[in-house]
Amino acid sequence: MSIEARQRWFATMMESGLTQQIFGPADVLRHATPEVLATNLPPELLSKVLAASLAAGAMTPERVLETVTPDVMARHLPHDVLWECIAAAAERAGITGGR
Amino acid sequence: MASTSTLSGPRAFFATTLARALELGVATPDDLLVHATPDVLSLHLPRGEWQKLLAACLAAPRTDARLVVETITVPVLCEHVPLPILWACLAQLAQRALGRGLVAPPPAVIAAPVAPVGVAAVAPAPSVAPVAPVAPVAPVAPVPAPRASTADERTVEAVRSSAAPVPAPAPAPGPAAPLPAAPTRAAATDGASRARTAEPAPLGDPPAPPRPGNGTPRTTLGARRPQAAAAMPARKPDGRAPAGRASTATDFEIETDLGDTWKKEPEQVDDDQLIDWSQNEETQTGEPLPGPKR
Repeated sequence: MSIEARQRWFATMMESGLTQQIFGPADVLRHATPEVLATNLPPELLSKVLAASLAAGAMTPERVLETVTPDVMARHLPHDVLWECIAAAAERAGITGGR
Repeated sequence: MASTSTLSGPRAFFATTLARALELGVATPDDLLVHATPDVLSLHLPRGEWQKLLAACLAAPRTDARLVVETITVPVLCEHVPLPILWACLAQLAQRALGRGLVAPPPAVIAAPVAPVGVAAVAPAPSVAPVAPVAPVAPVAPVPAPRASTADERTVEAVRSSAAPVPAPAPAPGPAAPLPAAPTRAAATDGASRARTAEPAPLGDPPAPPRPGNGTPRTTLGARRPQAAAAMPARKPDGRAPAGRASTATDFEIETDLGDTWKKEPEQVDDDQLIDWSQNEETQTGEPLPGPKR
């Protein structure tokens, strides 16, 4: 399994999870914490997040995810973190129970 | 037939992510059918889908997971298969993608057989119980035990035995049964150390070989002087502590044992040796020895 394939797959999972409202932006930032973002995002993306928030007057999870898209997450954030987000959402949705 | 767009919520999520996994090579059709087994499909797939599947399988020269998944399609699978099963499939793929699928089995099963046999004999704790089927090697094997299986071999055996219980060997004692007569590894070690201690005590340092300049005559006639005729005086314990390494009998016998006499009267020893050498054939035909000479 190539790294690129894994990145694209995680991007798809994150995008689908958000689209299908399995989890929301706030759920994502509960796992992709400021520390995670600050540690893993490149400077230009951090700058972009801050600039967008300054322009809008507030930094909300939705606004952060406008910049930190699923594709960006899959490319820069640890996949363990993304999977924790997905798994926690699945747990909440009650779809991880026994067969 | 459902498509991804007709699904919503978690089922759409699964349909999208599993289809993408297949597309990217993250998953194979076999990975899906490991969870969506024929039994699962038989319970949850509509008859209409089964009809298509059977027709496709009959028409195809070969039936495999790819054919099944391509015929049923991922959206249809995700529409009918219970969510926990889909989740299990997705979770397994994710674990593998994250590199967590290669974790070794729990160590508890593996660690137990590696425990020393002696421990099992002395204190048969319940946790050591799985050792019993492997332990009977000890009673059969006296000291030293024949080549003991390596840890890896024991691990493999343990895994095999845990996976499929094999009948225990005939003389297998119970876990709590004492092994009084069995020479355990600890006993073997003890015996070995006892054997080592049974070795004769060191005799002390052998007398230093005669060196040039100390009054001992030397000739170049041979590498060894005639020692067979020399009487071996009884060695007296000199009471000195062995210096460096303990001397052995081999060390002691290499040189002629002069006892302590050479220390007391070295000149007399030299004279005796001169007399002995005068009877030597080469000494008789050669020059007379002028005295203490090397």
